[in-house]
Amino acid sequence: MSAAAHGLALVVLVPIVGGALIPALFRRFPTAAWGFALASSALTLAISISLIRRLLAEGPFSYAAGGWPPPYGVALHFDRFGAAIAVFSMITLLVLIFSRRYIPAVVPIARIPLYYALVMINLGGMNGFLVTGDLFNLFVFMEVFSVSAYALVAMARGPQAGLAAIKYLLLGAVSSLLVLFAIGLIFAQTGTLNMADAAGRLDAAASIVPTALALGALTIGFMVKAALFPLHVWLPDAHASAPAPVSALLSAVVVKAGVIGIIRTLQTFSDHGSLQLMPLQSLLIWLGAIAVLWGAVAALVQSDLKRLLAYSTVTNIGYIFIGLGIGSATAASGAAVHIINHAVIKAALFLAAGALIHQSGLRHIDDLRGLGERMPLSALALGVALLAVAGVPPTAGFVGKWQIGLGALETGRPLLMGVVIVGGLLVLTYGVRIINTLFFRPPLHVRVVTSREAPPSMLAAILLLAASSFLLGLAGKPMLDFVAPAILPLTDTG
Amino acid sequence: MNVLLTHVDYIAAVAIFLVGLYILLVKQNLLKKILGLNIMETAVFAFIVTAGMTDNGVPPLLGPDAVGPFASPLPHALVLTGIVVAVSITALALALIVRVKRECGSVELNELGKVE
Amino acid sequence: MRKFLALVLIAALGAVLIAAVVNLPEPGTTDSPVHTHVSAGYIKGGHEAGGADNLVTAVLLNYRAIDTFGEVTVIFTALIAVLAATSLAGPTERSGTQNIDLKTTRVPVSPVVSFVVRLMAPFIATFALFVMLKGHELPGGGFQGGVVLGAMLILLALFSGRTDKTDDEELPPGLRNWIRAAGPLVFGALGLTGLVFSGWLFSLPDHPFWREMVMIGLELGIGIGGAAVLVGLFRALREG
Repeated sequence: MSAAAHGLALVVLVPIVGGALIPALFRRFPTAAWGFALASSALTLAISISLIRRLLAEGPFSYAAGGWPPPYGVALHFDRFGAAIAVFSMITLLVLIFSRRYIPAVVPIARIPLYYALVMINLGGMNGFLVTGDLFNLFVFMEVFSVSAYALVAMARGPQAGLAAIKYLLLGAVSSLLVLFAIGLIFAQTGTLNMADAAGRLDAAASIVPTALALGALTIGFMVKAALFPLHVWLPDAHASAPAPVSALLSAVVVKAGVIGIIRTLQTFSDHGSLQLMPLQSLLIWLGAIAVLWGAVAALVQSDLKRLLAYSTVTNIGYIFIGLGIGSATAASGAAVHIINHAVIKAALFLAAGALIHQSGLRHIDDLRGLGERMPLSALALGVALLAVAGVPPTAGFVGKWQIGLGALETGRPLLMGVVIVGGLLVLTYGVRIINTLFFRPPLHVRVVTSREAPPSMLAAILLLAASSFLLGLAGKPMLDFVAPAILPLTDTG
Repeated sequence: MNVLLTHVDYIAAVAIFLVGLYILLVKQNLLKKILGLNIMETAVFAFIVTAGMTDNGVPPLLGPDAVGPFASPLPHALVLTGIVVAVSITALALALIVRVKRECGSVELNELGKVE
Repeated sequence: MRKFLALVLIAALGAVLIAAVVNLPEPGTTDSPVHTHVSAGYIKGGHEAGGADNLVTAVLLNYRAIDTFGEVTVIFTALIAVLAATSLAGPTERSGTQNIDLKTTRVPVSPVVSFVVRLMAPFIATFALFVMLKGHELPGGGFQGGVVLGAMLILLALFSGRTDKTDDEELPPGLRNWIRAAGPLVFGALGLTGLVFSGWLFSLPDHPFWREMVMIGLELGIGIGGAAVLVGLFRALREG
């Protein structure tokens, strides 16, 4: 037992205990909560990097929480999908840096510690969700990050935010309930909650019908969390009305939990001899294809910058599900890489848009004309990230989409390749439109002329993310190689 | 028919689940939607507890003179956790409904659609 | 129309659900996997392995302590969430509803009700403490005790004759914030002490006496923290 394995429990423990301490510690000094949250997320990031180092050296490993061997205790398991916790911790860290100047401007001072507590608890829940190897533990940590996500949306002012949060909560709670019901079905058949153990014992179950229902309930439940068409209806409202750093966190990180949930489901059920996953995967492909086109077209007609970015998330989730549904090695590894790349790009987009909107006080795209002259760095970052999200080579968005398109061709689905390309072109259309508005149109609004560049803490986070969304494209090959061993269990089914 | 009788506890849970779902789908009042959600949650808890039940069983309390058959302890622990989660969600939902009522002036979703 | 569509959906879904549940192992029989697999291990391990006569408590605090850690985190998060999400705007002025001033228009509490509540309060509190402290031997535990204690405090707040915000002053706010976080914090402490004493995060000490003490500490943390959260939720919603 090397020290690194304890890190599996620590990546959950550190952010959550850190978050629980914040309201008590910083009641008198609300603005100081920032430093504490930053330190705990940096510690979490360091622990997750040590986990990845061990993963590279020894391959996937498990940790028995409490020392109880599975299936009696809760087993935590670290594989190459779990390695996403490092990226998510990094994004949370950058979002926290961005929040330093942004949050005091939009949240009353007494509530600042609550914001940082919720962000840290959200990170802990995400990490727990990603590293757990136990079905019920998965549900518990899903609720941890969901409850904090609902509240983070509601931290914004105004009637829209409250309404968006309650809609998000209602759909999210039903989806969680479906997942719990599926866990109950699996438990009633196998008597165990450990994922690997349950996967092995489901074959021995007397009937296939409850297993199929559990698979369906898990898929629908995680589809809501991932905002896959047609269950994305909560996303545009929630992500557009939340404060900018929260939108970045939700769009970049929290929706990915649903995707990882689907991956875990496919992994669990792929060993099942008699249950065919093929119909489910075809369904995911078609829903993904519709999501790509629907999200792109809906984004085209938006006048609100953040709402447009929210629809772009719908599009990109569609891409990921096309890749997962095709399930060939090329497409699935493309989808896995796109989970990470889209997280980075979308965080860059929402933070850059947040800086532009915050500094100018305007959120309609047409009002932002000429802002590129006043806020060159933020606008440049937004431009780079927009090109990346459209998938222009050699940016980060290109790698995943290219692999997904290739996978579609390899498996004889040229129509899907067409969807991938048309979706990319539509995204490029509105990307170029925004870039044109920011840089090449004369200012229309008086507030644009008086706007000043964002403060250094915001700029640091934005520029780092925008640079990554360019540079990760150059690192496409190593990333594909990194995820390749992890997607093998998925491709066996396809 | 026999199987419907032996599994009647599960079927009852399904019936409660559907009642909750109907309320959630049809009612436009946010408060009633939350009530529907709570009914659905209760149904899932009933379902999980049923899975761990033992005919003529006793609670899993091991004392010096305890004799089985014991009910399975695991579902009880799961449902206890589930109840706490449900309470948390309900509390947050109620707080949000109070806020929506204050800021938008209504808790009826069809009226709220017109306000926007 | 909406009702009709919902009924069709529910009929279809109901058929699927019933088809699935009737194919599950018959509930109540002891030879189903639920009873023969993990649960059988818990019952066989008994008091020695789980450290508590009440196996539900053993599962919650020992075998699956990390789940319970997540659970206390969820309820703590709910309080933080409610405090963070309530409206910043005042009540909207709408025609037809006049603003009722709670202080001046309160219905007076009957002296009988008020007296009975005050008389009962210490007994309820004692019972809550008993449920928490004996939760590892008898039915009960931290959450159940916490709910009883929280209900008692809410009852007192309802009938103590104070409806304005001053009743927040019963506890110093600094201390109150610590008590509310008690659940996640005692579990965090358990996580770390487990690493020191038995080499695993979230594990209980091996020595029976210390194990029982740690369990009681956890129950108290869950119970008192849970009660503080419930009272906090009640107040936040009332003032919200």
